[in-house]
Amino acid sequence: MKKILCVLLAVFLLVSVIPLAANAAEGDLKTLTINENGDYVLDENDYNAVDIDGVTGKITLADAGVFSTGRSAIKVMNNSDVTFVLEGFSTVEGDSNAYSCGIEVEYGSKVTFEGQGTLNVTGGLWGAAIGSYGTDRNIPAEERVKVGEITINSGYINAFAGRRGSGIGSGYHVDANTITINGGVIHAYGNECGAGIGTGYGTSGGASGVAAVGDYSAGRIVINGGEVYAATAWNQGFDYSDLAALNANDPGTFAAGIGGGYGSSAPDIEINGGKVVAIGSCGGAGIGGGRGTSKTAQYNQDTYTVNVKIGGNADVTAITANNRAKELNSGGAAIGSGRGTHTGGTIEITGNAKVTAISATQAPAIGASKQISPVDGATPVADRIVIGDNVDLFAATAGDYAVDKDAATLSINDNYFGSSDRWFFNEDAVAIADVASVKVESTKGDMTYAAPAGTVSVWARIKAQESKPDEPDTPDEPADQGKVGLRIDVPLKMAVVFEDGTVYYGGEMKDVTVGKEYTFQMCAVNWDNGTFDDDGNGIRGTVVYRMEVVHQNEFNELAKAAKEDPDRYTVKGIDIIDNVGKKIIINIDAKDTHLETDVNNFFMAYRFHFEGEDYNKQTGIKQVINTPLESLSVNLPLGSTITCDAYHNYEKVNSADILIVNNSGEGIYEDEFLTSVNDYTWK
Amino acid sequence: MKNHMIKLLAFLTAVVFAASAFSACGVDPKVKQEDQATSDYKVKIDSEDQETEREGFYAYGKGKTDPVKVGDVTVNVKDYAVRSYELAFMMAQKKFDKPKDIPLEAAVQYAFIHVFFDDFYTINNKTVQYRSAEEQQIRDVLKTQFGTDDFNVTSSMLYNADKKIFEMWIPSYGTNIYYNIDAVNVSSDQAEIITTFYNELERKTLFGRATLTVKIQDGKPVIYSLKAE
Repeated sequence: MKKILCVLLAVFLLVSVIPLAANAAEGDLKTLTINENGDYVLDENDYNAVDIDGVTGKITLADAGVFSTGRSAIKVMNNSDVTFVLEGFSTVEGDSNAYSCGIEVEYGSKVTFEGQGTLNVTGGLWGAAIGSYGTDRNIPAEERVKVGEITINSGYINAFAGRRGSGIGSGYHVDANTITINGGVIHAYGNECGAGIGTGYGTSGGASGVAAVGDYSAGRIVINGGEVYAATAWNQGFDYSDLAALNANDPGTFAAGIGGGYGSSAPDIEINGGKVVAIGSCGGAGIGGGRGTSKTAQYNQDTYTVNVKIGGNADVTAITANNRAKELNSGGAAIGSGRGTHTGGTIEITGNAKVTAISATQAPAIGASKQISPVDGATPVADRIVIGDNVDLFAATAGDYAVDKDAATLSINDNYFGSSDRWFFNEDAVAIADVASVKVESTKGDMTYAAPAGTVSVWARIKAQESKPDEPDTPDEPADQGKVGLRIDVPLKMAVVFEDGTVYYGGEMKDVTVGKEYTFQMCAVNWDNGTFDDDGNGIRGTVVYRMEVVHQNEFNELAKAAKEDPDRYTVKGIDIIDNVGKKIIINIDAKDTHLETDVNNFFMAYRFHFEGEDYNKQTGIKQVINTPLESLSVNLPLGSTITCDAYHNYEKVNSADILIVNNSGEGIYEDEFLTSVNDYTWK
Repeated sequence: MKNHMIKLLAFLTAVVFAASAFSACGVDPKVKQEDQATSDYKVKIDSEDQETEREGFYAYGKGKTDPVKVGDVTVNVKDYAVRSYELAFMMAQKKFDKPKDIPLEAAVQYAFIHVFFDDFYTINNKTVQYRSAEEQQIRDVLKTQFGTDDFNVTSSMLYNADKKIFEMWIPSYGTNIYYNIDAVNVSSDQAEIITTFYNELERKTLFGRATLTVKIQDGKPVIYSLKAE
């Protein structure tokens, strides 16, 4: 009998450790409080508020919907440290009539975003989409709220600020904190003087009755990877997918794409990798400071001074738009300071960074705004500008200098550039028209920015220095042909199988030989056991992919060559993707080097629907999802044929065979941000 | 309470015994199954892949399986019954009114496999199996199978434009096919082959149906249209 009891006890214990699914009851929206450590799932039930109070754990947002009234939709507080795992398509909205956020991160708390799902998050009144809500501008500095720490490792996040908030960061009159982006695809839009990523509207910039400024810290923004599109907008009524319209419209945003909001101090910004596109306007920099102040009494140099570092293999496009004719003479730099600051701060562009900087104002593309200083009335200059030898830079401006030649310290390799005036010479109009167009590739589609006719008068193109053949090898360059460890990253519920049949799941290490080409395939795993094998667990794709790891020097050479043929190659952080040869070249010497298969060329995410009814996501896929699940989309490898069963109330009602190819779904792209997702609808 | 526990344990034990008994009565998968109702089954294993075979798979055909004449041309309806299975259920192409309607990726992948294998159902890989093919090989199969190679094949995801070859990890399509050819409607230039597929040898449960039209083109039969469910 004791044995029987032991068996039953074991079963009980086993069941008891299964992560809790925190589901609200059907019917009315509910407020959910999570106040115990653990892992939770917010599924497709809708909530009107979620409080995460003093919790350390994971919270999966699986097709969740949180729509708040009178408060932030999700509030992370009391020193919580939570990871939001994104699955499916979740929506979180603050209250546009109340001081609130989409996801409020209280000072002292930390949030991390992971997973492969999509999160559309919108801030409420004066609030960031993710970060803090706003406070009254006359509240003493010590009483103002601050925002906690925000980290994004993966996922598809579309963050729309509420009025006067940043997309990701702080709200109206609120200090920011550290924002770290390591991966994912992020679109972040500030609103009404809030930066896309950084701080919200800080002060009125000199309007009467406003408390002194200078206590708004934008914290620190670090971007190590991923794709980041950040812009400042106005009441979400301005479409930044049409950059050409920037010249014809008046969004009046006064904020940086990444950095400071209007009247907010400038953050320290560090971009070490990934692809970044940032658009500021009306005196705000593309990357750097927001529009400052013209009032000496309201100026605090310590907090208004920008520090921007771009390095590694970052691919950065920064634009400050001329969207108000009167701002032409007083705009912000593409990278540097906004209007109404005393200095352009420090700008360092090093490593193998590729940078495109366009200023459609008379500020230099890189440097300081040329509006008079609020401190001494002089023309501001940058404190320090460094452009490294291997930087690939294109800079254009409507002003006099593409790069601020009057910077207090200017470090550019003269030998490399040949002559020191290479970066401020004038070109004829034809040449200008040719170079002042910038094509921006984004997940919302390619965008082309053309500087206003007649405004861009100066441009500079600085290419990386050609390596000299007689130079000795870098001493620390490993010359061995031995094996090195490479981390294999895979999309959610997928695995990589190499030509020898070895299966790798996400995060596993593989010994690879430098310079050797490997072939591999993508596979979906069995969701029930997380396994891929040849005995009925998971399904194989058919597309052949290759990878090769190389050392830094060779990578640099390849990256330079690849940039000459952008239609074929995508240089992305530590990777060069050969789109023609379906090959990934990986810099094994880079920080956090790994095989990155988390792009849509390697898999396709599918959503499943019933026509004429609310989405019923209970779907089974042979060898992949044996038990009907409600949390879909499903990542599936290209070239595989799946047998997919449709369920209604767990009753199988239909079955379909689907060949998985790019955009092979039935074409219901209801969400403009989800063009990488295919829909399958049972009629 | 204890009585409930004992009953639960007894139930679980019974389930285990029942499962064991069922397993013991199962058929050794290595022993070939023949449909006693007909000898009209088909065994075909590509010699190049013998070493990767675990156990063979077969297509068991019944009904109107005899070849038919369309004009002077002989059409092996059993082959085309299997082709309809491959296209409808392995390539997920349930309907096309003419070959050009077949999506590019499906056409190329179908052709690629037929460069190396006569039948999908015999492909039974233990592990990854890489193959490559020239563009002309793909086009030749398309012409043979569909009478046309009017596809932009080099825009397929299987094409490596750097190496100028088609590449593919061959899936393990291996399965037994149980089918009955219900009708073959012959006219002067085409044959319509109506096939029902079943889940098991006893043909108790329906797997699907397909109507494949084979046309005679330049003296040879080619697949022209398909409708399946």
